[in-house]
Amino acid sequence: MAARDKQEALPYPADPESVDEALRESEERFRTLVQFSFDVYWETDAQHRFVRQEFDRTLKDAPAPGSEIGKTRWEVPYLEPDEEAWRRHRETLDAHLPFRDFELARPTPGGGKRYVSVSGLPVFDARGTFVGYRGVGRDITERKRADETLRQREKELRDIIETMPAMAFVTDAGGRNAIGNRRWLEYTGLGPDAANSRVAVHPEDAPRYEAARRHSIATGEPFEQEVRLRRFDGEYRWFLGRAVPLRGDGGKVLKWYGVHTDIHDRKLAEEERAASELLTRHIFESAPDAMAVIGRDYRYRRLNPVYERSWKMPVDRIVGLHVSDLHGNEVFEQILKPHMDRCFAGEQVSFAEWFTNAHGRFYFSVIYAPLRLGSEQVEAALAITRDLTDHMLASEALREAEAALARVNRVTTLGVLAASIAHEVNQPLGAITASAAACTRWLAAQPPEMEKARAALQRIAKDGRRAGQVVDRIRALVNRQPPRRNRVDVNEAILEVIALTRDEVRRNAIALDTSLAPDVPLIEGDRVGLQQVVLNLLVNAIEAMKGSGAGSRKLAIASARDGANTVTVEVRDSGPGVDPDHADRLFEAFYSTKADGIGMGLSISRSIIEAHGGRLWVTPSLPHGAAFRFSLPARQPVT
Amino acid sequence: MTEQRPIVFVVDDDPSMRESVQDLIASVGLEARGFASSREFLQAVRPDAPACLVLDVRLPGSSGLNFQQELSRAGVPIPVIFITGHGDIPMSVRAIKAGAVEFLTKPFRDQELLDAINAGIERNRAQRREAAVVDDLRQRFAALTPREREIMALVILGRMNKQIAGELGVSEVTVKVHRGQIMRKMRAKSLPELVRMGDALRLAAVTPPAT
Repeated sequence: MAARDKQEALPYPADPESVDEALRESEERFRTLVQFSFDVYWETDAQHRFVRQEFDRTLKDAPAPGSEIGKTRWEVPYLEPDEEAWRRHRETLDAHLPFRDFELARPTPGGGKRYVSVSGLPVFDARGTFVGYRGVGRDITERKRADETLRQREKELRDIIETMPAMAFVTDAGGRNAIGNRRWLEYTGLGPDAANSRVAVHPEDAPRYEAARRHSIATGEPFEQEVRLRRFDGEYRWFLGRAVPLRGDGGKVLKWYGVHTDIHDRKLAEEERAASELLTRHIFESAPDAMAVIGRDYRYRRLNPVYERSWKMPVDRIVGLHVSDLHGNEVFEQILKPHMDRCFAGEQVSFAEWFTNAHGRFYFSVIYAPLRLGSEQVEAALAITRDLTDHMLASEALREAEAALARVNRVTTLGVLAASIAHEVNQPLGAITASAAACTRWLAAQPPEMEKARAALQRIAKDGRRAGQVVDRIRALVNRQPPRRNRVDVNEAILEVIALTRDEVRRNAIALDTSLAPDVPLIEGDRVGLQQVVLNLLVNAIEAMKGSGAGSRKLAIASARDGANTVTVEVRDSGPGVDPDHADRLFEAFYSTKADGIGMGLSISRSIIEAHGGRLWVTPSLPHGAAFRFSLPARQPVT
Repeated sequence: MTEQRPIVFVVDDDPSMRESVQDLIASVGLEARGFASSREFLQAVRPDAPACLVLDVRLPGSSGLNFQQELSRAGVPIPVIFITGHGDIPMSVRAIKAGAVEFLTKPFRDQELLDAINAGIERNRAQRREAAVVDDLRQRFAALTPREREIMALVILGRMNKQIAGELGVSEVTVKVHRGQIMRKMRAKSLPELVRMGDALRLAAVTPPAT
């Protein structure tokens, strides 16, 4: 504009000699102006045929000079516009009206497209007759391209706004006249008029949201609030609403642009995490077990209040202490540290042990769980300690009671066998007295029969040992001894029990069949306990057959090797058998089918077998009777 | 008639006990033979000599008490001395009722056993003697004619000659002649003696001869 003002201010020369000069100069100036402003200057005749074309020298791919002379504009190859546009254009031309910015596209030799904008004015001669058009043309290919790009970009931007996974809006400086994107409309189900977010805010969030909004509008500070917005179906979801001001010159707020991002799932997850953390803390604080986090330096990092009660000092004072400070160096080095080191190596460790400290003697069950806290390396150990002292004392008492009961059962069972046992003892004693009498007489003979006396004395010694063995066996069964673990030869144990019951078997006219496999492996266990089981089963079998006919009483005792690692023992009788309805109750305490039984024998027997890691069960024996079997795991070879 | 040396049988399944009792018996100069079971004893060949049996009450297979009954049913007149590891009163009563010489509980005093053995052998001797007398009478009885046996049966029932003649349909004189023959063949010196012989023979008639 400033340049045009300058041109208009140029002075024109006034003397006549210089008029031609001035005209020529003016024409030259005009030509320059045209060339400078347009790419083409053209003239057509009354039939709209080109009579003159001047192309700017800088115009690329210009048609050869004169190549289009004599042709109308639409006879020269074109790509645009369509027929309808040409028709309207020709109507204008035929009406001899001026036209401006008629756009058309021409093919270029390179296969491209050149856009041209053409303007023309009709020319009339002195008589007013139309002689043609005169006009200019401009290459607008660049502008067209730029327009296209811009249009594309705008479309993309709109697409972005419409499709972005957030609800976007824009308001005026006062937060009014909001416009929302499609997503907003879809979410809220509201019309475009109700784009103001306030209409969808959860009533509980509204005061806070509104206050923040007012603050931002008043101060121009960016807005940010988490808020629940109502969906079209009435459900509320959490959003993060953010808006920033668009400022004009001088920093004045012109508009607010903002988005609402759906953070519902994240928010719920956060809430859940917070609740979970709260719960974790609550568990830690209120757990009845002592819980502590112990660092790799063996120092307490965090403790729950149980420590306070156990160690009678505030938790704050324990934090930072070394484990050995509480438990003493010996306990730490010998018991705790080895377990802790395994935990720090990544293993969950549990153990139980008696501990003695200044506050008494305790049985603690301890678990060390490795804490990794996000990294691969174990950073600390979670130590959970449960005080099982009372439990242990109770179980010890229970064990003692069980042992006492088992002993009562043994003594009672042996009582049943009193006659048989007396026979077993009297047998060698009878032999001894007889041998002693014989010996005396051999010595008194004239001459004394020394050889026979010696033989009698040898028999006395042998029978004395035999009587001693019987007494030892009885004493082992009757003694108050805690169960001991030893290597036990099952066959030998069975034979000893059979020896005690031999007379009972004979007195009841029972045919006893003993079949002991020679290859049964040794087992690890309590010999007396196992003999008690065999004794119970034998006595039960004998008593079961008391009612059956004398000729049919059969008792079979067998041991066998079952696979590589199991020993099975079977006691089979030909009594009336076990009522299947009661088979499962048979092993219950105080359940007895005998009038004078206390019902503890099988219950105790099963406890003993199970304590050895074995099983005791009963099956019917054919054609009648019961077969009690127990299996025991063989002793694992020492490696 | 020279008597064989007495023999004591010991039946006990406990070898140690059996051996000791045998040795004790041997130490007083008696012969002792041991058996582990009643069957072994029955199957063994036993010499014809005064004997007694020392028997354990509890034997495998059949109990000692049952065995005692079996022996007496089979007519083996051998006195039994029971020994037991654990006896009770009903058992001993049953044994003595069944004719046992003694019932001893182990451990027993040696003299008790030896006395019982001697008593048992003595009883067996008497049994054997009695059996020998009955055997002799039976031989004399066998020498009688059928009519003489008939008349003898009636005589020891206390019938008069007249009654016998009436029952048999013969004359009283004939009965007298037969009676004289009977007294001579049976070597009876008086009527009471003949009656005693008749009693013994009736006993012998139900008891098969012992051999």
